[in-house]
Amino acid sequence: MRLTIEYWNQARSAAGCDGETIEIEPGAAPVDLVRQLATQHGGRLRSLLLGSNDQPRPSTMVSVNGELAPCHVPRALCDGDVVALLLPIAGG
Amino acid sequence: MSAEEPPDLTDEERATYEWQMWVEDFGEAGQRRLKNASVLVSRVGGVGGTAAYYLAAAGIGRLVLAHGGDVRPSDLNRQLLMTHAAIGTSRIASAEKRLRELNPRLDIVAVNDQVSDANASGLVAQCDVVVACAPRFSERLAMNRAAVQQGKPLVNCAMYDLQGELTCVLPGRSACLACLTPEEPPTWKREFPVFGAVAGMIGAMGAMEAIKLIAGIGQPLAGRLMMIDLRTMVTRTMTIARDPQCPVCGVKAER
Repeated sequence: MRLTIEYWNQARSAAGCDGETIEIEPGAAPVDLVRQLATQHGGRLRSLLLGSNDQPRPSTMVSVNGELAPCHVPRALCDGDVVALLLPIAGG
Repeated sequence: MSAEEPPDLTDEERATYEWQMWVEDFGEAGQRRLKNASVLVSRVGGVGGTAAYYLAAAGIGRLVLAHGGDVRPSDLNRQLLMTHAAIGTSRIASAEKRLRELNPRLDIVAVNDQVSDANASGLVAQCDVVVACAPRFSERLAMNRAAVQQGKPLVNCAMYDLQGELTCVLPGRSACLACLTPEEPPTWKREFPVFGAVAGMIGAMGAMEAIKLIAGIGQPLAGRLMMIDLRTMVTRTMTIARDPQCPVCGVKAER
């Protein structure tokens, strides 16, 4: 299935683009998506999204169609979903 | 926003705030609420300085401001309450001076320190609304804990690069900051890329959220996180639910 990815804040800087369209296995969950994107991009994006155990960091934030979708909560993504990927920021 | 009847406005105040009192659902009643209200803003750098400036301009009665350290040259691209002449001197003194120039009626409690677990409760106790603008999560989370414990609304304003984020916490009714970020994220660095105009945008929006909360107008961003990208001029607003396992506002915390 096909998803539209939007990168925000530090994730955008690390991915080097505002977003992209990707293919992922049907039934994939947000945690699978985060792992796939981290693997595809590697480098800084991977280190931002994944901890040393290769699991999404607690701080990695995903929203699906405008609704926050925590990685630790099981949820199946659907073809055509718009997924935003972001990290907590505190710039003041 | 004490329980007492908001005070009357003076003729000078009516003249100063005339244009905003023309806002139909705000009016003189809203202005009196602002005059009677106290807001904690920390810190008062790029984002918080703008928020404090607009709150002062709007006629808030009292600002409680916390910000330690001295003005540095690298502050001046975004921290509009600081001046070149103040380099090497106290940031909070510079901020207080600029705010008094704008609004001499303003009552200011100036704290030459950052917010921490040690002082957050006492600072939040002095205010009706918190505007969190600190560059460290530890400071924001300390304000969040105190605000939730005391049932005070909190406006969270943040920036990075050409992007800004805004959300509002209504304790017991909407997600708090710890629902989103329960602990200091290792991915955040204290120094970050940004333009001053981004700070001004998100700080002004934070001030407006505080004004809305005090005056009881509009719909605050409770349960929603708004993101704005000035590189593409795209905005997104996502819904955020309370986390039952949140260590601050969740079921565990209420026991």
